[in-house]
Amino acid sequence: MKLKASLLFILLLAATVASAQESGDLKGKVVVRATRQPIDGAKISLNTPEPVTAYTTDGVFELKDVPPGTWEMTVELPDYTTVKLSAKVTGGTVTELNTVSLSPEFSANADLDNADFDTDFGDIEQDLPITLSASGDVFENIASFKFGAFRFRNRGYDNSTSQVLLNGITMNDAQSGYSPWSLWGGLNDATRNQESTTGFHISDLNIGTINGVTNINATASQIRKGFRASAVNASGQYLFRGMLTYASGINNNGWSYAFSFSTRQGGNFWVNGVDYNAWAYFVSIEKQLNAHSSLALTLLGAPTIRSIQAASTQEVYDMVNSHYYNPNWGYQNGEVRNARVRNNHEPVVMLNYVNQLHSQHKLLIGIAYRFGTNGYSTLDWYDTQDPRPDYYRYLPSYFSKNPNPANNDPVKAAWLAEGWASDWNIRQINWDALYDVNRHSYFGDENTVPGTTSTTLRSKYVVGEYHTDQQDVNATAQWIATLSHRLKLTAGVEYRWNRTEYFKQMKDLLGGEYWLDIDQFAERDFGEGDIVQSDLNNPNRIIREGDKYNYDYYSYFSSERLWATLQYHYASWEMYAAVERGHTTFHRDGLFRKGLFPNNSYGQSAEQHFGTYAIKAGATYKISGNHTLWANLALLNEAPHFQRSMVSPRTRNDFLPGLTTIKTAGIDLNYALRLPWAKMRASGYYTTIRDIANVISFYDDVHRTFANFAMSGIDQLHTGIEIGLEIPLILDITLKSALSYGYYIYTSNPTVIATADNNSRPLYGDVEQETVYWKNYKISGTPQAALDIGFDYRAPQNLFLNIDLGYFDANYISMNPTRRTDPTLATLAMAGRTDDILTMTKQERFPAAFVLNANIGKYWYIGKYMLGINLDIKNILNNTHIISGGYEQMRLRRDTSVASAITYSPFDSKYFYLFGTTYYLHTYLRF
Amino acid sequence: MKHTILIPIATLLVITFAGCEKQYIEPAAIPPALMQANMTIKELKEHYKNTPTIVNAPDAVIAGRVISTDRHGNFYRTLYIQDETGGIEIKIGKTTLYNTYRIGQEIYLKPHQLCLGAYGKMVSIGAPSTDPSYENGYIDVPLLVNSHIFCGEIKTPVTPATISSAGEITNDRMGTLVTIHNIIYQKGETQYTKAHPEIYPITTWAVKNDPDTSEDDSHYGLHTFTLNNTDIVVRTSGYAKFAETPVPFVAGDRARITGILTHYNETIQLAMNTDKDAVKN
Repeated sequence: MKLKASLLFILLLAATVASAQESGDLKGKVVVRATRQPIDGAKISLNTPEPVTAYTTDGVFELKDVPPGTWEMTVELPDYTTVKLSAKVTGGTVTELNTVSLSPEFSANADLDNADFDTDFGDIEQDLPITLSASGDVFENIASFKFGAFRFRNRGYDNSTSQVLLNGITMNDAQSGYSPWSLWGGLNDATRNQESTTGFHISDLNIGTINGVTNINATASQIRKGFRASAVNASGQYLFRGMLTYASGINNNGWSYAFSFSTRQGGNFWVNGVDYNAWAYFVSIEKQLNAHSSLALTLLGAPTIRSIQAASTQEVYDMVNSHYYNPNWGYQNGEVRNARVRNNHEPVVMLNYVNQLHSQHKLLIGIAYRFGTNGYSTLDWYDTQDPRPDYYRYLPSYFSKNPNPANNDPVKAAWLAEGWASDWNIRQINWDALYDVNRHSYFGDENTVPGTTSTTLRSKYVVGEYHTDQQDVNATAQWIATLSHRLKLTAGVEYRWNRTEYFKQMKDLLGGEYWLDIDQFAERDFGEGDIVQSDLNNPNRIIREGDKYNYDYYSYFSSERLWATLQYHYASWEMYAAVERGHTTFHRDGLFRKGLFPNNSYGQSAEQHFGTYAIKAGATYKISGNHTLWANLALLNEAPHFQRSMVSPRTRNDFLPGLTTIKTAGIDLNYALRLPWAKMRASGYYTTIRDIANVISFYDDVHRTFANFAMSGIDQLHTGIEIGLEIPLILDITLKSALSYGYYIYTSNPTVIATADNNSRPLYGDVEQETVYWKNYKISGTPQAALDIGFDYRAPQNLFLNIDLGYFDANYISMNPTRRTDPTLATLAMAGRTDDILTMTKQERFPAAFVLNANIGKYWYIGKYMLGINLDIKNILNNTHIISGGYEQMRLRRDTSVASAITYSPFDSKYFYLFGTTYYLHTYLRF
Repeated sequence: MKHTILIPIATLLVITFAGCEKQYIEPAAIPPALMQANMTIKELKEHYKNTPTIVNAPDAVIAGRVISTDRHGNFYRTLYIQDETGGIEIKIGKTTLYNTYRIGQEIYLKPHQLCLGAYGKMVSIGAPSTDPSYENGYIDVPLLVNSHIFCGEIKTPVTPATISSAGEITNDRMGTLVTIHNIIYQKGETQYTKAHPEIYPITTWAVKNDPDTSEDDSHYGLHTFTLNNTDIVVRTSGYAKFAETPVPFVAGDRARITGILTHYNETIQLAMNTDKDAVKN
């Protein structure tokens, strides 16, 4: 400290002395790095004792009367990376600086929240879309902001393939692999400093998988210094967002600190019954321990409550004349109440130590702890009518499209439609009626259920909450060594431990006094006795609000990974090789002894062990400064995720038979062009992923029981091209375009073992396993073709304009595997109904769609304050007929009209539609 | 450091407002319907003209108390109500009706445009049927149910009429709740339909799982009792929760059984709400 103080004193003294001398002028030019276009309105400041500031006009700036000496010059422009350099000013002369070039930090609408969809895909566990993070890459800069609305997934990969690090620590969910962006939702300013690689490419901090590595630098010293406040008014996701961020930068005493708070409130303009109540906090303090090491402590969290939209069928949308119908809500006491609410708060606290051992070696050590709760509410009911308004028996099609014509009744169908049109309590959940049922539910359990009397109300409808409460510890160390100016070595080690408790918790008894914790499906099939108990250790348990019920278990996970990369460059060549070795283990620990499986539900399951590895290599050849060619190769052998590895984790300890690692092999070829008049990146990729397992649980109409459908040996192919292009045209207008044209298919017919959830009886009887015929079917959940063409105009006086047209095609429905199995199809084949077989097996392709978007922004400098405003409008043409996703329902209609030949037909698929016009108005202030 | 003042303020805001889910006010109790009956059940049944009959009585209101429950599975999608003049089956068509229509609850029925029909000469009210095998069908549709059937006050359950001689089994008592005393158990049997049309003797109230097929085929149980040499058949659904419960009688036992009195053509039948309604005399 003493030394620092002395240094500071000397500097100040020098500055004071300098100021007494004759001053000089400083001139220079600021341009965009990629296009060399001059930049208007960049702020130039010097750290002279009396700050000197200027702004560029036509890229040129001039600072007059600068005291002689060497000063730190800062060049700032919103959405560009701030540049700091030293400038030497000699008294009495004009010093001409070299041209300063700035790189865009983010595109103009970078502040938009990454697309996330508050939607529910019903029975099917649907991957959330990949949230791309913008990088310097010309393709991803466009794709990440323009393709999101269509649930675009980069190269068709699922969400878990993209590795996300926070301060160097892997944050992907240990249980599912999913990328963790929601953990810091609303902390855009604090997490703005990101470095990404794309595709198979490695990063310095991790070797990644097949879809890039993003590292968010969010320790106090890494966040842009200064104060930033912003307010958003929007219509697409929430109504209002407020955010406040401050970062101190590194103070003279070596401390830095940063904080950020935000809130997002209100529902969107298109869907009824969805509300948003999200908050977020971020605090980081960092101490520069000495000239080369620092220690940072960071805490962040985003307590978020969001009510969810569910998909519905076209019949319902047509009936209510809206593509944004949401069956999840209804009126309670005249107030809108949604039954499906996500309520999470999972804080992350982390400690990061960085030591720049000397200029060639850097050591990073980090440890993170994630905890908290993650709930998703749902209606539960016992021996009463299905409360969901769009249950298939409540729709006109039940009386008009019944496969058994004798059940069709056009008059009833018409009356049902009339009910939907005229009565909110028919169209939506009738909460008041649910309360009314509970308030009269004297069930007479007093002889069997201790603690109840003949007048205790047993709730028939309740709101429960699925919980996935994690405790996650992740410790990691990375070493980056520049061995020579040609050779760089990085190595890392990671240990991760995770315990997640899965359980259901009683949230609201809806006017009743208790819920009895028994398995009603077991009761229906087997009657009374021990077999119906959810937990034999606590039979006939009375559940009150806050109690756990139905199921309760831990999943334990741990993994160790060790990796190293070697990067070498010589002349026009750059090469790298990377290897990783790891081990993953997980098991289940049941906390309830399930009546159906008394010997296989309570306590620990067998441990599953997986040896994992990754090998990557790549080479880059710079043909010239303007043309670069490179290729990457990746071979991965990864552990499956716990949630897709158990037959029925809620009830018992059985793992999928033959559970194995997921094998990925991929190659890409890339070409980049950097010319003054064009910038382009073109890539082709080819990836195979083998031995994916998946488990779907649903009511199986073929076997008339709740079934677990465990598939293994799912193989996929992802191949395609992606092109990003930027061409400066005239008058500061730049053409920007991105194209992703992919071909993503299943390349195997996976085997399936279907078991009754009730008794683990194999459903296919003598045949041990069946085949799902979906070889050559398309992978769903993303448009396989996406194109965006836009024009950016960076007008004088800090005005930005952007208009773009997006085109999306080859988006396929998510498939119900049972529709493509022999037991379902055989009956139709025997009946000779080939048309019906086609209906059953054909995969729907959604129509192609165009969307027009625009963005306008401007900012002003007022003294030291910078004020900006940005308006983003999506789907300007208000096209409300664009399907953005959907899935086939798991249930099938059973037609028993010919007793000797029972046949099945599919239920209508459920769809999500893209919102019509939405806007996002962002105002911000920085200083 | 002046910005640090914002930290406690913002922290306070987050602590105060974050994670608080909206609390909903519990809805007030739905007030019971209260109407003035202007037609009796007997009068309604008299509208039936031995063929499906659409009731044309725009202002008619019938009031009756609920006497059946589907809680134990022996009644399915249907409800019996009775007033001082008689009882009638309402073919509502919904399941788990006992959650909404509780035993003893006053029900108001506006029969206008509903359809009277008979099955085995037993008259019920429902919707016009599209299935030619039935004279009327289930009402089913919520809007139709809501505009014809209204829940009134929950009153004390109907006291079943006592029958102790065959002469007391009258036409007016059909569709009402009765307790028959001193009936003598004869036999129990079921008729396996589909693949097995034979008649089998049984000792449980009904058959839940057909032992001969892997499918969950359930079959009605028919248990015959006699009262003054008149046969009374206690008919129990294979879907009843007590279907597998052994009948607590052997041939010759005297019993007292409460149930809804019906007939299928000339056969007198009794349908119990629960097996607790059959006791030894």
